Amino acid sequence: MNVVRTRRTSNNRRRGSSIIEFALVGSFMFLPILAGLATVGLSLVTALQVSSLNSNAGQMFAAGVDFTQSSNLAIVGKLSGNLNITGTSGYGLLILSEIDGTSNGNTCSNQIIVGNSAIGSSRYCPNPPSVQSGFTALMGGSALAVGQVSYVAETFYNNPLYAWALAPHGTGTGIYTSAVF
Amino acid sequence: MILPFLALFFLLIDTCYAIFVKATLQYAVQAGVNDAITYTHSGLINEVKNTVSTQSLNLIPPGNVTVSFFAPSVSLTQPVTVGSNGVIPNQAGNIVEVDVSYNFYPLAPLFRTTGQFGYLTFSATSASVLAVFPPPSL
Repeated sequence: MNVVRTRRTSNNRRRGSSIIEFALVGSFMFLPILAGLATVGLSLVTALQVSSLNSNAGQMFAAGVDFTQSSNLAIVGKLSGNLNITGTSGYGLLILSEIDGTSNGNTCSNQIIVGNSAIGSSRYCPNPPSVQSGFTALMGGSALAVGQVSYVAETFYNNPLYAWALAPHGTGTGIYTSAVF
Repeated sequence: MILPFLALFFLLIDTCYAIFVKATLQYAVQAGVNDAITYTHSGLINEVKNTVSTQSLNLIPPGNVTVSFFAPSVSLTQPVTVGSNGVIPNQAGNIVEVDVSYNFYPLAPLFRTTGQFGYLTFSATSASVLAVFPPPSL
């Protein structure tokens, strides 16, 4: 009888300790791995969406689509999907700039801003019509000649939902992409 | 003990698969649009649908791909169809839009309460300006 009781007590203790082990492994290893995986994965998907939106919107802008009309902006809202880059709020910002080569150098003659302008500002035309020297560097060190036109699309996306999980490693600057047409 | 472990295990797999599906759809519609704006032969719509289906690793059958055309001079909210106002839908300068949606059924029944039938719907959209002149037949 004593032997059987000792075995039961030992089994109960083992079961109890394995529950504690599972709880420790689950909370300190499994869940952080899952959270990190989801965060990095979602960020990668978001970066892909941002890149795609930037490319599509830039191509349409360069082809002459008039985004000053609100009805034409609807397609940008549709392309942004759950990024929700429309109006003047949200976590994203799309900046479309037209840069012309003139006798006075490069000037930013037309700029369209969609989304939350508090997120960032254009790296090439922050204050139109002046153009930053970074644009010349982007074009290989030479300014646009008179009559030449270049279209720049820039997209920012900074969702605070991702910042907490990346907090120990993330820089907090969000996603930025640009393209020249 | 085994149930919580399996729940976490399947949650991990479902998360990975959902992220993979979303990324694949976005890539597939972009590939479809890139094909549409440069395709010069006849049967443009079927070509785009097949491209999207192939590039999505057959997650999306060709029949579930929506290809729409918009004329910037008319409207970017109402698609142009064949014969409407005498406009050719796929003429150069018009916009082609490719939409797909995919119903994702999780492996584990952790998310099964989401949606009417227990699935999550992922969608992706891409658009660009058609460049081929003269336009190929649809």
